[in-house]
Amino acid sequence: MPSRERSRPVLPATVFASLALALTPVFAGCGLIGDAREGETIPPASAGTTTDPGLGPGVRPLSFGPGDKGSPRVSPSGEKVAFVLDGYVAEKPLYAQTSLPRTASDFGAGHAEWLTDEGMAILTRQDEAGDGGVRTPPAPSSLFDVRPDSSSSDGSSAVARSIEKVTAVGAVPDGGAVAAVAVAPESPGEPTSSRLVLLRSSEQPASVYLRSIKGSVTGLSISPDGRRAVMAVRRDAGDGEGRFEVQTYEFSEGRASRVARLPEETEILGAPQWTRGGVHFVAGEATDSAADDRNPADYDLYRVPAGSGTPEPVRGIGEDFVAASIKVSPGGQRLAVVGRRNLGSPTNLYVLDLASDTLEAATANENMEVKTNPLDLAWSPDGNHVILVARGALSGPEVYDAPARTLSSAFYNLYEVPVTDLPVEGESGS
Amino acid sequence: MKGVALWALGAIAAFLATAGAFLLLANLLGNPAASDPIPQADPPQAQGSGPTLLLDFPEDRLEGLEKRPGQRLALDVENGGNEELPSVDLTLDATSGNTARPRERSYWETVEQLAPGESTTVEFEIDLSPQMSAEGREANPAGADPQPREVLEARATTPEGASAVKTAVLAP
Repeated sequence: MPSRERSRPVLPATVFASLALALTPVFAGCGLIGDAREGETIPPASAGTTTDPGLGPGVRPLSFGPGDKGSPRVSPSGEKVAFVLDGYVAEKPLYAQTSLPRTASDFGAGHAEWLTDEGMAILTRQDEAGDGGVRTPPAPSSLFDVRPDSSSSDGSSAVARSIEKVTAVGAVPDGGAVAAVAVAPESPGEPTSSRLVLLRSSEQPASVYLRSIKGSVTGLSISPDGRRAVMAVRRDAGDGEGRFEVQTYEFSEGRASRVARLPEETEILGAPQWTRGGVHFVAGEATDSAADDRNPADYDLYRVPAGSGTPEPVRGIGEDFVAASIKVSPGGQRLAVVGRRNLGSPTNLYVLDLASDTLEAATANENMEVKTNPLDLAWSPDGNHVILVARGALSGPEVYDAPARTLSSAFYNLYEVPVTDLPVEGESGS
Repeated sequence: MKGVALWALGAIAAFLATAGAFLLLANLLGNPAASDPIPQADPPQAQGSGPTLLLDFPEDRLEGLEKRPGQRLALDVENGGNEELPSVDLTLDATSGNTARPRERSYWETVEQLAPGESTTVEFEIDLSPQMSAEGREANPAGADPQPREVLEARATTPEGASAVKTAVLAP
């Protein structure tokens, strides 16, 4: 009797508590409790709900609205993308529509790299163009680091000055950045030199590689295995002129070595890339006054095979190919190449398979202006996509039936290009 | 003892019935993220609540616009519905494409009494001059596009909830 009397009031309470617990995921699935859904997401291109932006099927916009965007970088986790927007750094979840600023609007950012803790190393903008259109070595910039989860929504951000006189920065594959720092000569006649500095996270102090590099580093990338830096280095020739070299820096040995020396009047565009087929780089005549980021000069893609020391044109892309920027895939087996099949062709993204030396077109540009600066090209960490920056060409006013913030091709925006299962050039009939 | 068993059976039955009902509800209401009805890039059709309000932004009127004050721009608005609209509010926002230093100038007009099928033209006098710095130069932060595309976003709304939007992007 006593147990029966006790059980009567207890039983319904137990049942309803169990019921509430069991139904929690059901309510959560309905969105009735728990966190509100984060913003709106960008559907995949395969969903067929987005209009083809003019780069071919499967290409998916990753950003929308006005603003000059560039230097896209996917976080090592593959979940976020950061980019420079009108001189400040913004980031967002990869497929979210809206972004958040990570720096103040007047920061003057040139490009940013992710650190291991999802903080960022941000290099201020380098102005390259010299008088008369002849490129001059970029002026050294400042490298700042921004701690993770800081934003400038309140007008300030957790930005701390980090390193001065930085001439180039490259991303470490699993997060972090290596910066090339110009070392001031002790006497006026002494040649310039550089040192490398490693930043892993915003909390760790920077590591300095003590043995210096002869010359000024103009472009820097890290090999996919993270063991070495590959650099474009401008060496003083004594008469005020410079001559470009490709150098590598083995981190384990702390030693730089020259891979190749280029002829006079030839410059390297961007950073050479370490691949399984040797070091690849884009180079051309340094005196093309008409060249700029959006109208690249007649540059070619070269390769220095392992142990060779002599650059040779990459035959697989074709003799008339005009290369603008390159980036090696995370696995080191493919090379993303932005360029044109010939001087009259539109700029497209291609992928060079280094094992077979075959070129595959990843975009089918109809009427888009694709940014050709080497910084405006990035791989996703899984190697399945390449991110580039483009906008629709405009010859006059264009009217759209949508608010400006939802437009992609009207402004420079980020596009995710799938680069798996691509048709080999010449086999698709294109 | 029999009563306890009946209580337990009844509670289990009620639990299963309620859980089943909520699972059904979740299946009916829950949307996968990929199919969210979100605004898309460059959608081909006008957004809004239906075909009752039409906004026209003819490109030929945009071609003569210059980057200085006193520019005249006419918008056409039409009542495409079957009922008279007591009023239509028109807004025109002229913004620079530079998000670091946004320069936004907004203009408003109201159209009274728009009969079904009737259209009218509303003229705005707008200022498209660039934002100048204290030194008298065009204000442009380091790293920003030196020649951003100008954006004109026009919106027509009614108190009844009908709306239409058009965006014009001008080449520098």
